[in-house]
Amino acid sequence: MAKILGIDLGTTNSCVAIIEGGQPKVLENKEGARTTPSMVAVNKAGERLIGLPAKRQAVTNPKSTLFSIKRLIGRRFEDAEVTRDQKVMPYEIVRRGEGVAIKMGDKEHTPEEISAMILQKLKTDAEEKLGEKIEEAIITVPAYFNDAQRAATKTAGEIAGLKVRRIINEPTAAALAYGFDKKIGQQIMVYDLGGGTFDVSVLDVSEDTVEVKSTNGDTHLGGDDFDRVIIDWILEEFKKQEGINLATDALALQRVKDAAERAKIELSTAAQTEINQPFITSDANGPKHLVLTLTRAKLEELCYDLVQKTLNPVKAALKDAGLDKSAIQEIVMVGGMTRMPLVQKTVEEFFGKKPNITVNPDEVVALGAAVQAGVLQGEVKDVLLLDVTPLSVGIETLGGVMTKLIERNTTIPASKSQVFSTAADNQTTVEIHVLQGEREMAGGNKTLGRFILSGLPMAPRGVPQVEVKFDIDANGILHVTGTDKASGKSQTITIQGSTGLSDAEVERMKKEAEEHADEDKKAKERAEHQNLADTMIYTSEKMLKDAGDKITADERKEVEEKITALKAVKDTDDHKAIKKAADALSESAQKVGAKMYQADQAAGQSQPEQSSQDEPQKDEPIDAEFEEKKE
Amino acid sequence: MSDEQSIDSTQEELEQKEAIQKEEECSKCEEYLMGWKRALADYDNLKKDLVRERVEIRARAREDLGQQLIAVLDNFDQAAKFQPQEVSKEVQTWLTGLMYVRVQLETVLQELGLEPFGEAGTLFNAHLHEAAAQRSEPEKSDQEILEVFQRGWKMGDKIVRPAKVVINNLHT
Repeated sequence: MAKILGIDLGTTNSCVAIIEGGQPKVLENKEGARTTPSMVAVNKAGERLIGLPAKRQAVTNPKSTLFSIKRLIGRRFEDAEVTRDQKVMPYEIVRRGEGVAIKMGDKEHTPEEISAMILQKLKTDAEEKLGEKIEEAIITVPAYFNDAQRAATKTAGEIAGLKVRRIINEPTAAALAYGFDKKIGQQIMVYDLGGGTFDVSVLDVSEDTVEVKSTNGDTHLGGDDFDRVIIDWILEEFKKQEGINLATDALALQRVKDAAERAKIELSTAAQTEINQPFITSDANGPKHLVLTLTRAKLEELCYDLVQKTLNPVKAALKDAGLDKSAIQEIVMVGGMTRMPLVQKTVEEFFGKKPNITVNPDEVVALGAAVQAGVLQGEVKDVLLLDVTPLSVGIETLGGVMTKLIERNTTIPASKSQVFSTAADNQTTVEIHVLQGEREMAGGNKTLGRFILSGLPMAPRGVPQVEVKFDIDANGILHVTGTDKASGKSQTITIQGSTGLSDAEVERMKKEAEEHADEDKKAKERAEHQNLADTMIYTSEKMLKDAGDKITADERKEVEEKITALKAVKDTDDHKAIKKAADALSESAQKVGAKMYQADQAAGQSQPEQSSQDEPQKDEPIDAEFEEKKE
Repeated sequence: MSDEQSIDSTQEELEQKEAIQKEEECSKCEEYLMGWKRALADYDNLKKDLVRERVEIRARAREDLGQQLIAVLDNFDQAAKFQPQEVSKEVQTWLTGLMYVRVQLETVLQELGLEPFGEAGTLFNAHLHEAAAQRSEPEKSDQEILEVFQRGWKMGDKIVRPAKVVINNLHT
């Protein structure tokens, strides 16, 4: 069955996705990018350029480079938006019947035709990527688009050779990408801060529809405004430092713009970034370097007003929907600017709950359109719902540490096994303590059950091999089996409902793990240090026993003293002291070990020589060598 | 007689029910088998996708690393543009050494599979170049690249970064 494209035809950028194997997936364009600038141009040679190439020549060909055409689609010539664009856009907008046309080169095109050119490119690139013909599509439009604008968008699709199966609202698509269409009876807010526009919508999810209750926004607020604020700050700082205005130098300004964008992106994850553009310009005193540190705090101070500006449309949309902010159950973030921590924090503070941003905000609308396409082509069928384990499960190991066998969020059915050993010599039983939770230490987690595997053959510590297998079946029932690999003896425990925890319980346990993360980490480190100390003491004592009279009384005494010293500190909380004592013991033990080794070698050499040096000794491993025979 | 008939019809009904039940079970079995096969096929395809993706990720990682190194190389080039006219012999030797470091960096980029492009004097091509600014120089042809502000880089056929150029526009 032919694929149906999900298309987010944006004001600044467009994005295309399809459903593959039941999952929505973004398709890269021919240039290898996941979004395509919504720009069309005709160059001097009469060649039509769409997307990135159109953007690259915009500076030199402003009159014939068309962008933000979405603002004009389906509009009447008299509309205020058209009048405004006529003043600010570098291209010429003329009347065509009731509507508008735009001049590009020596021809006039309707906004539908221009949009069709973009759609045509998206279609062709998708076909090339998929290796199959695309005939149908779902195109998204802003929720506030009226019938004329929707009809015009549909026409654009048809001019591009696509049968437009549906025109869906962008906020609805974003909600679909998160699967929120199943949240019947809930109210969802979609906060869309894109490159050039800000849209906010309140959605009401009912049995079979997602209704847009209200919309609001600011058609001229977006990422570009944020970039401008940063660029202005850089220019101003440089002027303060060097007394030079970089804005008058086109090439320097280009570097400042690139640096500002990079800084903005970096500050979404880092607390500060360095803007480093050496040799940006020069004066009579020589070259000048642009080196500035921009902190996230400074960036937030610069952008504070812009972010606050988004809250008024949010409040207005809530008012129009007749809802209080507490009635909103989910907030969906759309648009690249929502990656900015300040934006997320502001929204979170306003609503008192975390917004959803796990799906790439640049792609979420196209992905949602693809989900809708999948429903139409029948690929997204809830035939089989696979569950996941809400919390990790594992067992308690030496020192009270929880060793996780199946991590949380693993799709079930799943199974995993690991081999463990004993902690003491001649240990013939092991207790398998099954735990659930995210804490590092066993004590902080929930005990699901425990059993004893007995009858292990007597052996030094670390020798017996006990395989522990965890298996969670599709019903969430956990089976834990312990098997002694030497004797083949095994024991099993079955735990019902290991996945059937209430949401509140799962949340509580996850929160506890987060809250205690530091203290748990320390406890785990302590247990690890103690385990290491135990092993050191055990091996050193064994070595002394094996050494017999190969070492002097003094050497023996030295190791024994170090062992006593380590024993004295090993159960304390003092990591450093444990490490120091363990290192000291290790050093002495190594010296003694080396001596024993030398003594063994000397004993070997005193035996009659069996062979010449060139020949390897019989008992030693022989390095295999062969020569290639040349004919 | 009528009793026998009613027993027969009950028997028939039972058999019919059983047949329907069996058919339902068969179709369920079929559905489950299909689902199972699909899951196995999906898994198999996923493994193939992973192999392909790994190759793509490696190429992308090279490209990302390249992009970061290109910025450093750009600054070397930028520095070279500002080289003072009159310098002592010691400083000149030192500068020459520094420029060897630049060559080394360019070699690393080429080893990563990146190739530079973009020269003044050629015609502007929006698929390869980005116009950063324009001037008008009547003695030169329209749309000619007057200055390469930042060289372009490609990896195979893919443009990793377009060359940023100043072009000649005779129509301004």
